[in-house]
Amino acid sequence: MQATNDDNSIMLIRAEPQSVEAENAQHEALVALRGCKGEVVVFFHGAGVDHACGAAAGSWQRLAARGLRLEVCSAAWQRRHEGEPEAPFVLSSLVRFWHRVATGYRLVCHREAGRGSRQGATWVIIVTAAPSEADSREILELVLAGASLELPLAVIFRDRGCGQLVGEFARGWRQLVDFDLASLYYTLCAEDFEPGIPASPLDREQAGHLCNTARGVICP
Amino acid sequence: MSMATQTLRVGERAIELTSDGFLCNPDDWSQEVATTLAARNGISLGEDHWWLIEFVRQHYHAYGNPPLMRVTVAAWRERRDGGSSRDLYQLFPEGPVRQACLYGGLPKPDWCI
Repeated sequence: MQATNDDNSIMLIRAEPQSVEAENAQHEALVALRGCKGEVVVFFHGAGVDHACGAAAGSWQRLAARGLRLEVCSAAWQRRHEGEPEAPFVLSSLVRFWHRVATGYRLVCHREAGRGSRQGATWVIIVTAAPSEADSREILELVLAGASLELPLAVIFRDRGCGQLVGEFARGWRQLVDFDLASLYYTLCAEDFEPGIPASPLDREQAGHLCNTARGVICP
Repeated sequence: MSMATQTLRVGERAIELTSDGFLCNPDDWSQEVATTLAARNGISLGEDHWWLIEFVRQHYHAYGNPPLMRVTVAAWRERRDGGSSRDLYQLFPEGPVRQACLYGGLPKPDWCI
């Protein structure tokens, strides 16, 4: 029987090489490869594109030989490197990533337990990166790429990620509200927190419910 | 400031451009510069072109990035009481938002959206 998109999986990796997160992600990719009837795609974004060159590439290349497809965000790559990534890594785009997700690829998330029900309509993106982190702007691009496909999106800012909602950092996120591109939420922490843009507070239970009933959860 | 590889003559001024034709220094932008840049590509800027350029410039300055195409199309529909992305591609066939950035003196969009 021919594999359908429901048999395929995709994983987003933004962690830089040699980090614990990257090691976990590679383990998850291997598990997905063993258990998946269809295609398994790993999409590298942010600092994760550094996996596509140098010493970090070797272990992925070995997994690719076993059938893993390795795609690299072209914009994130070009911000950090010249030329092309090493084969078999290929340049791709955030829109293509979202297109795969929207057409039924199972999201493999190596950072969160709540992975969505696959039955819901909304995609949840959990932002935990502080605005001061080097590639935090690229998380906004990830969300905008999903919005460009008119996917229903909910963004939950959590922990240090709540800093994205304050002051100058909130400027880029505001477009999601102003143009009805995504719903914004935050979970916190300090009782006196006041977001600089319209965002709704969620307690832990509400956030869990949103994730559990989502079509999928992405934790960039 | 980006590395200059071309020079655009606008009256007495020499404006530095990147290899892609974008302004190296956004402060060099003026309507005269936009008109000259567009003319190099055979485009005579009319009222709708200017609306699009101004919309993209305002969005960029408000949010720090150019608008999504869907946002641009929605604003266009509101302005024209209808219309579609095809109208925008007729204005700027090589990409409405990208070309509006080019003639609007904004940096080349460096994202893959």
